Amino acid sequence: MKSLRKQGIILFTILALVLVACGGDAVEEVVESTPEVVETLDSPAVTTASTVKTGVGITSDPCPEAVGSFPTGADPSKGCIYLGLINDYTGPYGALGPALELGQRSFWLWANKAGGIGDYSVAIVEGGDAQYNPAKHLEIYNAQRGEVAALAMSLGTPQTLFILDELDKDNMVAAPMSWYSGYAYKDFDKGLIIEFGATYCAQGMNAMDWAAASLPVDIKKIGIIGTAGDYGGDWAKGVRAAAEANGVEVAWEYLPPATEFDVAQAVGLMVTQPVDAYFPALGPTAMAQVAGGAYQQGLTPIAMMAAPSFNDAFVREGFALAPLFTSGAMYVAAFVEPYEANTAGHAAMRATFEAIGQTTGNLFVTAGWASQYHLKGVLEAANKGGDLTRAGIRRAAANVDVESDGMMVKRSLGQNRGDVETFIGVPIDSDENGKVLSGIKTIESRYIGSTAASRDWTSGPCS
Amino acid sequence: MRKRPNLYTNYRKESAIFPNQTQKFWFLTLLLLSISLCFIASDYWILLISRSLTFAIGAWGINIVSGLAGQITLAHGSFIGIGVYTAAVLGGVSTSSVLGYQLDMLIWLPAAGIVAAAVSLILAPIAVRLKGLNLGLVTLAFLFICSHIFSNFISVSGGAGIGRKAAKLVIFGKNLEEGFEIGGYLLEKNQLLYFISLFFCILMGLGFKNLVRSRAGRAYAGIRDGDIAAEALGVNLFRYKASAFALASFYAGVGGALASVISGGIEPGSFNLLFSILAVAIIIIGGVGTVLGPLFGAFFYIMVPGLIQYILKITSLTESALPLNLGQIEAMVFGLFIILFLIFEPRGLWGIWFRLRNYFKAWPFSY
Repeated sequence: MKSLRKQGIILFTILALVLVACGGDAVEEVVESTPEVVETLDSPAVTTASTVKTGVGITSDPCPEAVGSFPTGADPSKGCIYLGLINDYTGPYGALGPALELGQRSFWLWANKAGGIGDYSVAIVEGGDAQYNPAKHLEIYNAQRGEVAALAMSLGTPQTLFILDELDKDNMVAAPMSWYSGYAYKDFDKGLIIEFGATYCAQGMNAMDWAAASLPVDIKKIGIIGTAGDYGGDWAKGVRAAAEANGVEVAWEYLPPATEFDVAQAVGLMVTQPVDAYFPALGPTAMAQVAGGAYQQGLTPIAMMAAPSFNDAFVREGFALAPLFTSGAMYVAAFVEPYEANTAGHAAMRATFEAIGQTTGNLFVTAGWASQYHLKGVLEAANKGGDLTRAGIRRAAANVDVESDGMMVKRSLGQNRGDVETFIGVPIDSDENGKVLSGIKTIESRYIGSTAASRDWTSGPCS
Repeated sequence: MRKRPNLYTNYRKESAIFPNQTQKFWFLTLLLLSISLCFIASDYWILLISRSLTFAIGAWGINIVSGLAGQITLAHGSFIGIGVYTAAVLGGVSTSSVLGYQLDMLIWLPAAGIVAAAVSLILAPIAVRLKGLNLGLVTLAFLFICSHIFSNFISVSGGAGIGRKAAKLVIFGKNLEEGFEIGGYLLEKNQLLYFISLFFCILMGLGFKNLVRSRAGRAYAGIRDGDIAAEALGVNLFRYKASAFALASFYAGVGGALASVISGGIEPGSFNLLFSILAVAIIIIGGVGTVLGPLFGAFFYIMVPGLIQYILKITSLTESALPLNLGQIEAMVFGLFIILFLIFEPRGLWGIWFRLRNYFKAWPFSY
């Protein structure tokens, strides 16, 4: 028996050695291949073609009438462009995910009714829950990559950057749901991320500049709260730069790893090292805990919140901290004006929501809606150029003028320049016209402070 | 003797890996079915099955230390993490923020197990002197230390909330990231991963079965059922408890490394307390201390989301029409099953399988 085992071991070892030897070295391999045709991404995107080349994620069959219970508004006589959706339904931003998705699906319902993209309507596939986890994000992307032409949403900065190599390999463009300053630069996003709105860095600069210039309180000391590597990093860079420019001291920064974020520690910093204002870049749950914790300690410094920190539920009757959030000490900085704003894009959004009986209007449905405009512009350009393959869509994204019915400033994609115009508002529950659906009153529609104005935004991202 | 297949005339035959022809037959049938499934099932199901197979390897690990040797551990998730990051560093691609040496799977896979086992041996001198809740607390502390290291050791893990890519699939120097062509047929990466997971699942499963019937397996059972009595019988507690931890960690490392390659990436926050508890839950649902239990438990855990989605689909229910989202429903269903199994079937899914098997074995006299 023992000798049999010994023989087996010897045989296995020999086999393994032979296989290893046969495997050889990759360097020694002689690969015969014809030169690959490289499609340059800088080639002119918009030409006019009579026939349209299509690829993965585009069918001549019509889109489904509804995805889940949400109507697509698709024209049954047209083909379908399918878009992927990597969302969060659980995790730190789980509360925002459904609202973002509602905005995006409503946008395409409206766009499809208005004629779609040439001979195609657009449908967003069922969303996957990435739980704000980059690994899950990649899993969901892998599950969707074979059936979509582009991504309607990739939520989160580190998550989106995590799948960038895969997007690159697949020529998959994506509308992000985050405002990392690198998205505007080809060296950082490989020309794949269809950015929209002011970057976190610019928003941070403007929030600081505005607080220093416009608040009746003299801001001398500030604190910054976020998590390392997350969107807070970009925001913090902007806040810090503007603080320096305004001669404001950054008393502390609390940017621990996401797994080690401790509300007590954040509140402790506010108690032991009081500041005139703090600049949180968190999720809504953590934001409420930090603000509530400080409030319990009798502290109500000015809070200049990055938009993902705010939830309209904060100002509603019944929420214990509503008096704090509507006290005038809390402010929100965002890339776009809230639901009630007076632009053609906002009006189209409100009309669509009313038509489908939606009564929400928070900042996230608005963000969801606004996020699709530039993607629509890219798809239209690709269609006009006669190439709706992923490579064609990517090429179109490299150089195209996009607009958003006035919701954001007009811009050209692929120009290596980040946007800076920042919305600044104050949370309120209602005004003279009744309940404010967004929970925010506008103070500045498109604010550009001196720090953001003086920075050369073609020089690259902040972080 | 051929007419009495279940009559064992000696211990060696009774404790054989396949004690009778029926088991051999079913093993081979299932093996063939598993192989053919890869060419029939959709990518989605191949992915789910591959993940189940790798989770089963990790679950066998905790079954060694908790199911066989009776030691409470809440650090299994950390050992999985150690294996995952060993594999990612050795087999992954280097970037500006993380290390990666792009080595062959023949190196990173065993290394994942060996490094996890080696780290567990560092914990062993403390762990073997404790039992029960005290041991649980020590492993819990170890879990928190590892979690902190994973979150902050950016050159290895990429950092909390950011993560890093997993090891690349390179075997015998051949890059299999784009699949492998055999006689004009392209085996895609997910199919290759399926076969690799299946191969290692069988290998590690047979290893576990072999362990149970070995001297070490009997010593583990002795320690579990009464460590003082076992010591009185000559079982070296230190040696066997330490080896149980090391073996369990080896399984954890290998299973974790394979699972991470299937996922494509890893985020350090994943290896938290919940993840370790999940490993315990998998063996409770599957069947603590049994050979097939962890396999059943792992399949149950991974397949539940797929099954819930399938039920939603056939009942035309949409997620948005439900008051809870899919993640919450999954967590509730899984929690409910843990409670139900603990109350009604402590032997887990294996217990149900055992009773079913015996029912049909004795049919038509099953009473």
